[in-house]
Amino acid sequence: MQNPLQLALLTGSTGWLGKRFARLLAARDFDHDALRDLPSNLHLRCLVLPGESTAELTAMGPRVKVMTGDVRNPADCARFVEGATGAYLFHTAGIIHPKRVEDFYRINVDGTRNLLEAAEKAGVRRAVVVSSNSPMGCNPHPDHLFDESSPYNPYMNYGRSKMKMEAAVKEVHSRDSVETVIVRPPWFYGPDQPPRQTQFFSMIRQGKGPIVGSGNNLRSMGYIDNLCQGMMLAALTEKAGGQVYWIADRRPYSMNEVIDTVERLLADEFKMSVKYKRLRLPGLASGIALLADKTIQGLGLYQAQIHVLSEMNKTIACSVEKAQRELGYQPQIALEEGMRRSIAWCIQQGIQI
Amino acid sequence: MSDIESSSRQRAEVVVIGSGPGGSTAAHLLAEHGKDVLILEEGRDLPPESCPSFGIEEIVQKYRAGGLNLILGNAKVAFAEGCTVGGGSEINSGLYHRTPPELLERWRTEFQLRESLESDLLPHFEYCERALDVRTCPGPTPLASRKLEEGARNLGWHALEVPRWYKFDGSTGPDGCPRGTRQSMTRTFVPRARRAGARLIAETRAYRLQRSGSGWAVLARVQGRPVEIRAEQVFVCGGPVQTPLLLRRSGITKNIGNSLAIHPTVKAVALFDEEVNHEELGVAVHQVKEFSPRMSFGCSISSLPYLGLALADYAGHEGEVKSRWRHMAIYYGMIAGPQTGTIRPLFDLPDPLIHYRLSAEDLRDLATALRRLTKILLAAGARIVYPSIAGARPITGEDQLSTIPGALPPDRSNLMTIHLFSSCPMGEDRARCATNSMGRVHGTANLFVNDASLIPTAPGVNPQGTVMALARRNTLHFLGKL
Repeated sequence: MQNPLQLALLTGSTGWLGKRFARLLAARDFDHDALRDLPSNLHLRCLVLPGESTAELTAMGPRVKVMTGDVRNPADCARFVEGATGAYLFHTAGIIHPKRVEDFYRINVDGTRNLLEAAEKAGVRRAVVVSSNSPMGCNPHPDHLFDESSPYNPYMNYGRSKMKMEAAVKEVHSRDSVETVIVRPPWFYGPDQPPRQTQFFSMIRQGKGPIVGSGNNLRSMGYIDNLCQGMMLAALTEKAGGQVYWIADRRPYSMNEVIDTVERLLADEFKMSVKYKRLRLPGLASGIALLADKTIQGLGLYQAQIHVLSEMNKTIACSVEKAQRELGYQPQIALEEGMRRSIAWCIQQGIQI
Repeated sequence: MSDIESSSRQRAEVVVIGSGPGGSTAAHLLAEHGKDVLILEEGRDLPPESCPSFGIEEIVQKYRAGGLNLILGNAKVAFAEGCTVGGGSEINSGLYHRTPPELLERWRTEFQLRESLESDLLPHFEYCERALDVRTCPGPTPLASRKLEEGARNLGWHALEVPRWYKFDGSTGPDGCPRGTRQSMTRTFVPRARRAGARLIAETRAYRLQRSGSGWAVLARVQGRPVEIRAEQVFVCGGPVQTPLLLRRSGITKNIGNSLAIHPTVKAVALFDEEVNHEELGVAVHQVKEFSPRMSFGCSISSLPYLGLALADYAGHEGEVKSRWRHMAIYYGMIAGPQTGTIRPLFDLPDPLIHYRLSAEDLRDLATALRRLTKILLAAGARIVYPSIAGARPITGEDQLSTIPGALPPDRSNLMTIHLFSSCPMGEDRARCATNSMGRVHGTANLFVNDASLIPTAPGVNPQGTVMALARRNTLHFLGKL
C-alpha cells in the first residue's frame, strides 16, 4: 500500500477511541502488515474541547499538535482543517451518554455536517467517520448477523442521531469533493476505558454481572486496537471511498462468555476476590427498562444505566466479512486477550476494579 | 466351575470378599502364607481372553449393570465398576502410578495414617511392579496418545508416558505399536492364590456380615442360592461402592460411606488431519501432569461406539463420526475432588444410592480443565474440538476457548468418573476414619477393609498402584510379616 498520508486530523482525541488511535498513530503501531511502514514524518492534528486536558496528547511526540474547538461551531471546524489539503480526517467525536437528548443531534449530526463541510472547503482527501451499531438496532433473530446491507432500524435517540449522521456523510461523499468512509464499531473495550466500563468489571467482581434472560444472546464487541486498525485501513484502502464497514472482533460473543471471561481473568490471573454470582434478571426487567428508557428519553432526558440495561438481553451482532475482504482487516485480539489487557491497564493506572 | 460344594453352610479360616486388585493381592499373600482362604466374587469367572478389550462385549460381561451406574447430586456423574473375577483390573487401561509422596505426607497429618510414607510403601510398590510387569511401552505409542504429548510440549506443559502392567509379545499392530496383554488379576494374583490352595466361588454376592463368636458369618447368595460361611477373619474388598454398602447393611456405619471421593471427568473429541485412530487402537499412555494433582489430562478409549456416544450432543454430526472416525480421538480432563459423597443402602436393592455434590469451585475447575484440554488439542494441531457440553459449539481456534463457560453448567455437562475412593478412609483419627492405619474396621475385631475405599482422599492419579501397595502392606501386617 502506498502511503500518501502526511497529515492526519483527529476529532474526539481525548475520548476512549480517539486517544487510543492517536497513541497508535504517533507510535505507528497498528499491528498489521499493510500498516507497518507509515511515513515517519506523519503529523497528527487533534481537536479537543476547550477546557480538556491536552497533556497526554502532547506527550505523544513532537508531531502531535493540539487545537481547541467544538464541532458544534462551524468556525472552529474551519480553523481545525485549515491548510489540510490532501489530509486524512478521522472523526471519532460524538456523544453516546448525554444529559439531554437534543445533544445527540447537535453533536452527532450537526457537528459532523459542520466538520465535513469545512473539510470539503479545505480539500481534505478522505474522511473516516465513526458510526455505531445503533442505527441498525437489534438483530431480528438470535442467529442473525448484521452486514452492510442490513436496513436501518435505529435504537432510540442515539441510534437515530447516528443514522442521520450517516445520511449526512453519504451526502457529502456524493458531492465528489471529499471521500468518506463510514465505520461501524459495536460495543468496544480496551485500555483507556472510561469509568462506565470499569464499573462493568466491578459489577462482575462483586457478583452483579448483569445477565438478563438466558445470557446466551450474542453481542459483537470490538477490541480498541482492532477498531483502530480498521479505521486506518478504511483511510488507506483506495476502493473504500463511499463505503460502509462493520469493524469488530472476528466473531460475536455471548453475554455469558463476556462475563465469564472477565470473571475468570480477575480471579485466576489477577488474583482478585470474586463473588462468582450473577445479577440475574428476567427478560421482563429489560423490557421494563426499555419502557422506562423510552419514557425518559421522550421527556428529553437520558439515563445511562437504564439505557444499558434495556440493551442487555438484545442480540447485537455483526459480520466483519466485508472489512476482511475489501480492507484486508485482520483483528488480532479476541475477547480473552483484550479483556486481559483492559484489566492490566486498570491496575497499572491504579484504578480500583 | 465353582470350587465349593453345594452345601448351604461353609467354613474358611479367612474369607476375602471381592477379587479385584485389593482382594486378590490380599488373597494370594494369605494363601501363600498357609491360610485357608475362600474368595467370594459377585461377577463371573471368565478368562481374560473371553472378549476383546474395550468393546461392547467386555462391558456386558465384566461391568456392573452394563456399565451404567450413576451418582446423583447437583450434576449426574456416570461411573463404571468391574464385576468379574479380577474386578476393575480386568477392564481398566492398566496405567500405573505410585502414590504421590506429598499425598502420603498429607494423609499422615490429616488422617493420622501411620506407617505409610513413601519409604514404608516402597517395597510394596516394587513387589507389585515386578509381579504385574509394570513397564513403559518398548516401541512407538499410539498417535492419538502422542498428540496429547505434542500439544502439551508446544505449550511448555509437563507431560509423561505412564507405565502399564503389560506383557508385550513382540508383535506389532497395524500402526506399528507393540502388542501385548494386560497383566490383570486373572493373569497374576488370582492364579497364584489358587495355586497356593485358595478357593474361589464366582457369582456369589455377600449381602450381610454377622458376628459369630470371635469371628464372622458371611451371608451370601451363590447363583441366587443362600449360603452362610463362617470365618475367623473377613477381608472386605468389594470396592469403594460395594464395601461400604455391605458394611452398612451389616449395621457397621461409623464413618462408613460418608466421604466418597471421585475424579470428576470431562471429555472432548478432537478431529485431526492425520489418521489417529483405527480398529485396533492401543491404550493411550500419555498424561499431562502440569497441573497435578488437582487436574490432569489424558486420552480415552476412542472406539467407534464411544465416539458416537461422545458426539451425541452435536446434532447432525453422526455422519461426521462415521466418515471421519479415523481422524478422531476422545480426550479427558479430570480433577481430584474433595470427599463430598455418600453411599447408602436403598431398601434391599442390590445397588446403593450414591450422592455426590460438586462444589462451585469444582464446576469452575472442570471448566478450566475443559478449556486447558481444548488448548492442548489445538496446540497439537486439532482442526476441531468438540467439548462434551450439551449445546456447546465446536471449537476451531484459540479465540473460541472463551465460549467454554466459566463454570461447567451441571445440567448440561456429561460428567463421569472412572475412579472412586475414600468411602471407608483409613487412619487413626477416629472422628473421620472408618478403619485403622492397617485397614481393620475401628471398633471391630477380625474385620478388615482392603480396597480403594481406604484411600483417604482422591489421589489425582490412577489408584490401582496405591490399592495394591496398601493391600500388601496391610496383609503382611496382619500376617505379622512386616
